Parts: sequence; C-alpha cells; structure tokens
Amino acid sequence: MDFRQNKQDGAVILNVSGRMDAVTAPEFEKECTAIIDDGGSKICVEMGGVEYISSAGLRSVLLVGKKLKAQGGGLAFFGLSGMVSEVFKMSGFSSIFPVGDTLDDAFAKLG
Amino acid sequence: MHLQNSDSSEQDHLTVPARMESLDALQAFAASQARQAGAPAAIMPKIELVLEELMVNVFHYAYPEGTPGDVTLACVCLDGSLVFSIRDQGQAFNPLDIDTADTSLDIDDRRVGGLGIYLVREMVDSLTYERVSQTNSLTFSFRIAA
Repeated sequence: MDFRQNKQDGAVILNVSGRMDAVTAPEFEKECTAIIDDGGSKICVEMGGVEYISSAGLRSVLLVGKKLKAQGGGLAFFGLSGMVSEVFKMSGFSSIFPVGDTLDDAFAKLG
Repeated sequence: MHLQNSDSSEQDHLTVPARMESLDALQAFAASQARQAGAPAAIMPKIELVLEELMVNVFHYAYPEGTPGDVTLACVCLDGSLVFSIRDQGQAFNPLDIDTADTSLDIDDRRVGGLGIYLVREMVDSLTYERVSQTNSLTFSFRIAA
C-alpha cells in the first residue's frame, strides 16, 4: 500500500493506493496512528487508488475511526469506486463514515 | 476412496500450505479458473474477497498458530455456476457458526469482528459446510450465467 499526505485546514488528506487486505491492512492503521500521535484528529482518505478491500481492511478503518472519534475528530472518505464502494455500502460503512464524491464533499461532511 | 474422474466434470485443484503466504497463489488460481469459465469481470473481486475471508479463517482457526497443514482449493463450472470447494484436515471449524456483524449499528456500537462472514454471505449464491472424515469441507458458488 502507498500513502501520500497533505494538510488542509486542520485536517490531513491521506491519499491511499493499493489493496487493503489481510496482509496490508495493518499498514493503513500504522499510517493513521502516526497521524493521530502527531496531533491530527481529522483524516480525509482519498480512496481512488484502492482497488480492493476485505473485512481486514474494514476492521482497520473501524479501529482508526473509533480512535479519531475519541479524540473529538473524525474519518471521512472520498473517491471510492468499484468493489470498494460496493463493500462500503454492503457493510454499512457508507452510513457510519462520511463518504463524499470529491474532497470538498467529504471535507464538508467531516465538519 | 474415489478414483480421479477423467470426464469433463473433473475438478482442477490446488493444494498449498495453510498459511497467509499462500493467499496470493490461491487467489490467482481462483481468478484463472473463473476467467477460463468466462466469468464476468465484475464478479472477480467478489470471488477474491470470499476466498480471502474463508481462507484466513482456515489459517487461523482450523490450523491455530504454528500447526502445520495443507488446504486444497478446487473449482468446477456446473450449470452456469462456478463452484469452489475448500478442504482442510485441521480442527473442526464452521464459519457459518460465526455471528455476523450488525451492519445497522453506528460507529460506537460497531464490533470489529463478524464482517468477513457477513460479506461472504452477501456475495455467494450458496455456501455449505460439512465435517466428514476429519476434514472441513466448504462449498460455495457464484452464478456466472444469466
């Protein structure tokens, strides 16, 4: 999995690409935990480059989401496509996390 | 003992050590079988996900940490469905016994487990488990023809 970070208006925009599976999901958790340890409480994840997610990926997303919520922040997503979008809907993650079509959209929902 | 069939219903299969390092080979085998059977592209990531979820269970529960053993994945195309079977000789483990996640709960009440088997049940057209002669046998299918 590859990551790229940008900061914008007090949030971290995290661009992720690759697969979020049983082998790689801990990398996402580690990347986000580092942002949180650095004082970040709002993360907006660009998912356009993620072509596959399994329950192991969802588990990491949920753990990070819970951590950010405990900090009074939040986790939002944008640019989901294909099976990733389908898995988010199927698992109810599209309801428990703000999901936008674009960065601005996700940013607005993150509040 | 069954003699290997030699007719067209013969199953192609792959036997590998039951550990995480084998996942890529198992998914590649399943993808190549699905392509040969003419499965639509949209179904490929679903097959991949179902395999990952079920195999990770085998690696963790049928063969707990350090227990060596093999797992066999077989595939056959029958009546417009791709039928996969996973067999292992590990501890009895029925994934259908796992409580599936409640997908209606909000973030505070969401448990971290149970999502894998929930997604599997949503994506396959059938799923059965049998324990026969010390063997866990899971059979699941995807409809690929209209």
